[in-house]
Amino acid sequence: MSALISGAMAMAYAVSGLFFLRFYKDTADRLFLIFAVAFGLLAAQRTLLTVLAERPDAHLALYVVRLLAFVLIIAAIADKNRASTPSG
Amino acid sequence: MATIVYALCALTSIACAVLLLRAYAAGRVRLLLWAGLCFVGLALNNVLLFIDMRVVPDMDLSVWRSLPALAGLALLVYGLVWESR
Amino acid sequence: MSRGDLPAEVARFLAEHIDAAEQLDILLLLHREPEREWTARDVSQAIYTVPASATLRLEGLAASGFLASTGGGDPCYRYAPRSEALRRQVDVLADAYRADRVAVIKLIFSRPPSPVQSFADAFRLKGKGS
Repeated sequence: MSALISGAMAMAYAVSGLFFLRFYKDTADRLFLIFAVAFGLLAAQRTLLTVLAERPDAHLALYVVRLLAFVLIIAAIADKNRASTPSG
Repeated sequence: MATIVYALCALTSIACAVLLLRAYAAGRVRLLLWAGLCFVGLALNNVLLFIDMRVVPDMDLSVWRSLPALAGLALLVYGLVWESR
Repeated sequence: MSRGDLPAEVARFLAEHIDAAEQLDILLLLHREPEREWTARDVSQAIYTVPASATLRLEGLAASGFLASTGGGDPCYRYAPRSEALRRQVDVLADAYRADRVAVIKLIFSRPPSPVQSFADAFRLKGKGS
């Protein structure tokens, strides 16, 4: 059950990431590129959590990957609000 | 250390949810509603993760804590497919 | 056509195909001289913009079926609508623009932003336009 849920989430993160990538291609707005990378990381993290379920020592490293994804999202928001650069 | 990770993830999700839902309230662009709800789900996921790890370590909430995130992501994918053009 | 009273089909055409005044300028420029082939540089000089921006608009108009492009590294573009219906719509638009330029421009600027653009704008802490 939890593998099914994890698989569905990983796929949803990946598909969303692809949409963000396309939005980046359409608008050249850096925010979408960063979101695409962040969601890609979240998809990878979710997948690895399942693949490495038997290795609890790996879990902390995987949560750092999740942290990195969210830090990227913060960076995207900060970048969007830097008054000197209209990023799109 | 882990607490800080969960807290930061939760706070970021909440911030995104607030920004998106605020913008939805202003302009009624439906994509923002679905995206905002997705980040609410991700925030709940992170909060439940914290509770699972720190508050009730003897219980395993791993399926329960994923459900809000899964629901949120389903709404986001729905919104991206139908409302992004 | 009476002033301040744009035909509904002009409004529909604008909503569907035109999202910027510059894009309209370029379309109508090529429409005025249908036999002529334009490079991005020609267009950029004619409407006072940069070649990169002109290229973006020209490629977009070609992809939407208004222009023919010779392709390659430095393509030439020519007014060549994909269908008779499109050709007629642009003719009507050109007449409307000649009759009431202000109304057409106003319609372009009152167009709601795309959902994708709104998503990006949502992350501006101060809100758009400030």
